[in-house]
Order: sequence, then C-alpha cells, then structure tokens
Amino acid sequence: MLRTIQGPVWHDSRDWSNPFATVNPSGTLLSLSEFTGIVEHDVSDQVVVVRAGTRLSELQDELAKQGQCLPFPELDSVQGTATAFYDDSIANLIGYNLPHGLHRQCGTWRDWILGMTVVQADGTIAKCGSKAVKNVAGYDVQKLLIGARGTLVVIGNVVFKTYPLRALPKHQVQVSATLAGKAPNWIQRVYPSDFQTAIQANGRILTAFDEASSTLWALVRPGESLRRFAGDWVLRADLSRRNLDFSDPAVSRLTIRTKEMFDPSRKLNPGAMGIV
Amino acid sequence: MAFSEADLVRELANLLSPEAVLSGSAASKAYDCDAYTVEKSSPNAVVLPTTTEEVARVVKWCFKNSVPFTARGAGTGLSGGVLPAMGGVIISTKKMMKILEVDGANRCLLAQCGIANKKLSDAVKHLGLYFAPDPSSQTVSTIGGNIGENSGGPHTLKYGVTVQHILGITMVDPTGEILKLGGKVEGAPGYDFIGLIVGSEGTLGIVTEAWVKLMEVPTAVSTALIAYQKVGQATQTVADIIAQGTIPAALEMMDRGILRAVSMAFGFQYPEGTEAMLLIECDGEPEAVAKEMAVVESICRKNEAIEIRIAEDDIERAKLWTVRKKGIGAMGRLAPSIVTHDGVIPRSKLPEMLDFVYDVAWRYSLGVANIFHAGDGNLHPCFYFNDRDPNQVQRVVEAGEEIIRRCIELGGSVTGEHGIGVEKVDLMPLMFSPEDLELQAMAKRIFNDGMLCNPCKILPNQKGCVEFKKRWKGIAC
Repeated sequence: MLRTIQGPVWHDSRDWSNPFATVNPSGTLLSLSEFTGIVEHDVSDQVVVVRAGTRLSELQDELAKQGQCLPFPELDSVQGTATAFYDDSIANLIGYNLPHGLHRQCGTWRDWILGMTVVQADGTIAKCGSKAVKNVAGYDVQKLLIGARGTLVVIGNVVFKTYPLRALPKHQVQVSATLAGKAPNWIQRVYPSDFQTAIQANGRILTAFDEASSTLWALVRPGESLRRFAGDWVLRADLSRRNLDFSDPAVSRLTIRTKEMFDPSRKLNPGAMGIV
Repeated sequence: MAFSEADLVRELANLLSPEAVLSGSAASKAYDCDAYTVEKSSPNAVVLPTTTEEVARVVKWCFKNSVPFTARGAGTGLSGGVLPAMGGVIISTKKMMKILEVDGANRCLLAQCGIANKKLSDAVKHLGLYFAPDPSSQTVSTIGGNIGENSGGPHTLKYGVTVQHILGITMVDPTGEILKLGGKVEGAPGYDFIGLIVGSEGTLGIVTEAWVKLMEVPTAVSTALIAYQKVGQATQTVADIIAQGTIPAALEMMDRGILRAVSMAFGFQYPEGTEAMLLIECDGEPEAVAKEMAVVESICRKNEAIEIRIAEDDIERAKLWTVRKKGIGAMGRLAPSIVTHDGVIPRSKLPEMLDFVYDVAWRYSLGVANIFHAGDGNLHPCFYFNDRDPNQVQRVVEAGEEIIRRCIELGGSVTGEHGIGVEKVDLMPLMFSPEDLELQAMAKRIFNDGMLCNPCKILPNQKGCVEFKKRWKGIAC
C-alpha cells in the first residue's frame, strides 16, 4: 500500500492519550490498530514475535501466562501518568522510546529487540536482526529504527527477547506528591552527579523522578524548560518542534541524511522528529 | 591506487612523522591478517597516529587521494575484519592507549580506542568499578576493536555485549570529519547512531575515543563447575535455570573434547564418564548470590549432575575457570592448528546441534571440541587439524560452513560474536534476503558511501571486491 500512497503518511497509534503521541498528524492515516497479535512465542527460548499494532498490555498478558514479560516497571495509574507510561501499541512505544523506571536495571527497547520486519517508504518489505538472542551478523539497522518516531519505516513484526516475570526487579520511581495525577510534558536525563541538584532546583514542577537512571519527568509551562545541566539529554520537550534538541550540527546533518536515505520523498510521519 | 609505495610512505610521513609510518615486507606481513589467518592481503603502508586529529588528517588525505584505509586495533579479530582487502593504509590505534578522563561519580571513563579492554577495569579498580564486557582476548584486544565487533564474552548473559556499555564516541568519518556522538549518560534523543556504529566492524568510520559505562564490582561472587554424564542433562539445566528466572553472570558449557584437552594440558581432573560440564557464576549482593547459587544447585541436582564443585574464593575460582578460559589454548596439544567457529542457535536446540557437530566432524574426519556460551545459545566448535595439509584446511572450511548453515536452519545466526569480516561475507545471503541486505546497505551509506573505508566487509557482492577477493582468498597459509 505504501508504494501507491502519494503525499505524507501518518502511521501511528490508535491511542492518542499519550501527551507525546502526536505532532499535528497530516495526510493519509495508516492505522496499525488491526495489525495485532502474537505471531509466535518460543517459551523455552524466551523469544516472542509480535505484530507492531499490538497493545503492550495485550502482549504482557499473553507473556505473563508463561511467566514472562517485557521488563517494564509495574506502575499504578498515578505512577504511569506521572512518567508518561501508557498502554500504547508496540510500534508507538518503540517510536517514542521514552525512558521507564527499570531502564538502569533491565535496559530498554534497544536491548530487548532482536529483530524486526519493516515496510520501507517505497513499500519494500525487509527484515533486520534475527531471532537469535546473540547476533552480530550485519548492521544493526533495528537500533536506528528505535526512537525514530516512525520517520524511517513502518514497523511490522518485532522479535523480542522476553524476561522472566519472577526476576523482575522493583522500580524506584518516585512520584511527586504535589502534582499527583498530572502528566508530564518534559523528560530530561542528567548525570547521576547532578541528580540531587536537579531535583532540588525543579522540585515543584517534577511529576516523577528515578534515581537509578537519573531521569526527571516534569510539567513545565509552554515555552519554559527544566533547569539544564552540562551534558544532559532532553528526551521529550512539549509537543512542538522543540521536542528534540539537536544542538550539534553534525548530529543534525546525520539525522537529515538518514531520513534522505530511508524516506527520500519525506512521506513517513513528517515533522515527528522535529527537523525531519 | 595512483601512488607508488614510496610516494605513499612519503606523503603519510609528511602528514604525521616518519616514525609514525611503517612499510616494507616485514610490516606488510605483520599486518596482512588478524587472528583469522586463512585469508590474507597486504597493506601498502601502516600508520600509527596518536590522536583523533592525526587519524582525521590521514583519513582526509586517503579520501582525497582515493586510497583505501582500514583501522586496526590489536589484530585479535576472528573473521578478518581488519584485513586490508584492497591494500592501502592500515591505521593502527596501537599508539592511542590513553585514558583521558575518569568520572567515578558518573561511573564512566573516556579512553582512546587503542587501549586494551582489561586496562579499563584495571584503571578504576580502586574505585570499586569495572568495564563489564570481557571477551577472551581482553588482555590485548582494544576497546576500539571491541566496539567494531560488538564483542561479547562469558559474562554477556547478565551484563550485555559491548553496545550496552558504550555511552559516547568520537569518530572520524570516511571523509575525515570528526564526529562526536552520545555523551556520559545513555539514551541520547534522536536516531541511535551509536547503536548502528557499534558492531559495524570499522566500516562506518574510525572510532578514536569512547565514553564507556563502568559497573560496580559485585560484592560477592560464587562459581560452580558441574559435571554431567549426558549432554542433554547439562542443556536441560541451562534451560531450567533461565526459565526459573535466575540470570547468572556466566553460564558456560564445555564438552568432553575440551575436558580431555584441559586434562592433558593442565592435569585437570574430572569424574569418569563426564560428557559435559557447566560453569555457572552468580554475582551481586552476598545474600542474593547465596540464594541464587542454592537455586542453581538444586536445578543441577534435579538434572542428575554427578559432581558439583563450588568455589568461594578467588584462587579456587580461577582454578575452575581454567577449564573454560584455557580450554581452546589447551587444544594446541592435540594438533598444530585450531579453528574456532562461531554460530548461534536457539538455546533449546543445543543438544540437537551438538549431535550435528559431532556428526560433521566424523564425516570430515576432523577432531572437534566444543565450548558454548550456553546461556545465549552461542556455540564455538573448535576443529583441530594440521594447517600444512591443504586437504585438511579445505575440510575444516567446509565442515565449518555446514555447521553455520545448520545454525540458520535452526533459527540462529551465522555469528554471535566473531563478526562477518571477510570470513562470512558469502554466508550473509543465508540469513538475509536481497531486500534485507539492501536495507543494511542503506544504513551503511549514511556514513560510508564509497569503497575506501574498510572495503569488502560485511555485505556480499560489493562492486570492486571481486578481483581483490581472488587475491586474498588465494594466499591461504
């Protein structure tokens, strides 16, 4: 289908509740909401292949029946809201690549995804990675697609390494008492050595924080920001083009070049990555 | 190449200094292959830069003058990743061994890429920190080489491979521009270029410096060596441990071939009738380690282990690790040469695969012994043979290919940690369709759109490689 669609294609979620989910979608909407379900689950090898439109909760429920999971923290609704952790489709969650409360302990998408089948902007289907839990054959293209907000390809099937549920560590995410129930519009990661200062400097506007991964979630007024620290990362900043902070011209250049390689007609999710 | 060797050496000496350029037959022989010695190709010159800027100067010159170049660390690679496939310049990182900054508070350090892996841990030992990836070559292999190959090691099951431990890099791209990516904390926003570069075998540019993540040295370690009469009992133990939810720091398996070699070389004793041994290590807080080891022990007993030795101190632990770490070296006693293959299969297929390996060895009349990173299904069958007998060499190559093909059939990979290099270029189509390979080629072109930076590696059928390939394939040692 992608081969024939002219103009922009916004392929995204069925769930718009995540405050970071949308940046003025335009053009044709390609919904993955019917592209769901587990394709195969090799229980003893702890590998699952899932269609990218599947909701995270559906996948977790199925995996739990076999004592397995993706190692996301178990959060109540207040904690989930405070850390922008929503039950979204796998494709969207991979696309946002937002931090979570077990990042330090269990890694994140780039550590769990073994392979993918993707549809390229011209409709070509290709796969990258494999089903092997350890693999260094070829270029790890799938890593480039994580956090790419759907700007490079449409993700089809995803191969995950699963985690034993009984070994899931406890998260240490702390939720702000004053902003309980509020969703963040800003996520920032600082050096561990700046973490306490960052909390004290921003105390009143933080919705949550996680010391293990030195991550801060905050609710800032439009146009404002959290206090910045040397070498920190702003992982999401409100919903505007500011949502990615490419201060380094070399990174901007590489980002634009990557988009040109993968999606020369700039069809896929235009604007979702700020500059591409 | 438009330059005579003498002109090339003179130009390079002008860029750096005469002492920083090696040439002549001794140099070209020393740099014509890595630890994968089956294929060889000589460079025209070797340079030894000391800084990122010097590397950039050389690369810029090579780019401008269409001279191929290949970065090289310690040369311990096992797939010909640093073979100068089209000749040209070897850019050795041997003189780039400095640790530039240690940030203990943020558990990271910045080092030049020619430093040996082990030196990173040595440098921060006093802070109670270490660098987790531990390929068997770690006393010599460089962090740059580890980044190129995304190296693993026995402790990757719990701590991940190199990519999980690289926070930021400085690299010289194939045109000679210096790029800085990432930083001191992980998770930079935007496309994950570091994820693509780590494991790209030096084909996307030359990584010159890296911020690496440091881990806290575990306060307790417990190591067990377990003997079984049947291979299936050992592999079932592995499956049971993982399924139960325990993630040991290491979960290694050795077959009778390895045990025999270690016994002959080092007088290592093991119960009669042992067909396979597991080496299991748990680390962390003392209480958690004791609990984990108790679980491991009970699973081993359930699977009819005939002996369980547990080391509680470092001396005893080193003794137990001998059988794993010196296993391949010990095979030197059995024949003049050994080749270690590298493939991956789903863990549950280990018993089936092992039978297949024995069958292949029997059919090709070769001696074989097996070491596995059993926790992640990464097998290393080692064939021992006489490399002066071309017929034996040919059989070893063919047997290896048959094993790798089987890995793919069983849903695995052609390589778990040794890389594609030149060794497995022709096997890539077994795993990837033309469309899959084109997707990879596209990712490569983000950084490298030419044929100068470490040419002819990873992707098969690259234009311009065919003629050179005949040359390097022809010089088997």
